[in-house]
Amino acid sequence: MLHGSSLVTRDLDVCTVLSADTVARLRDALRDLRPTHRLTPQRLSFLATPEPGVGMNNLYLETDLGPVDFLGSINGIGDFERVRAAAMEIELFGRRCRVISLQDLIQAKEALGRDKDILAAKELRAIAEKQQ
Amino acid sequence: MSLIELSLSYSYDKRAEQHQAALELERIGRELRGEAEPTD
Repeated sequence: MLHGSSLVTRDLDVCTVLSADTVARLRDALRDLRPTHRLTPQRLSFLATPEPGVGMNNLYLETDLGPVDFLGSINGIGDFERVRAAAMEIELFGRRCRVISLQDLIQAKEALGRDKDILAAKELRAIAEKQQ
Repeated sequence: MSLIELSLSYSYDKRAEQHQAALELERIGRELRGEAEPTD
């Protein structure tokens, strides 16, 4: 969307290193949004699971504002350091934030390979061509 | 002007706002049709 795609996405994907410290900080940041583990049948609360001091590879949460995924790596691209190395920094609503690069996003969509991802990758390629 | 050109002419803030508006329209449409919310 930030790269100019007309396609709608319904979740937020964040690439990060989910160390125990990061998990604790995320818990504090998301506390008011009632985060639960989206893929557990019992919808376990993220505020209670995992126990403090435990890191994770991936987190798939549902919150009052919608789904948000925290991923240790992106399929087809690599880990957080690799994604960050090519990320672009933009200002969004007065804050600086890093966004996956357009080329990496195309690669990630193609790696996923579902029909909707292939369609998105085609549009993103057209955007990349427009920007050249 | 194509959709892509139009979108690229917007600021990042505006792109995010447009996306939010599209999601809201989609949600209202689903409500009217009595459909469940998609998962992705």
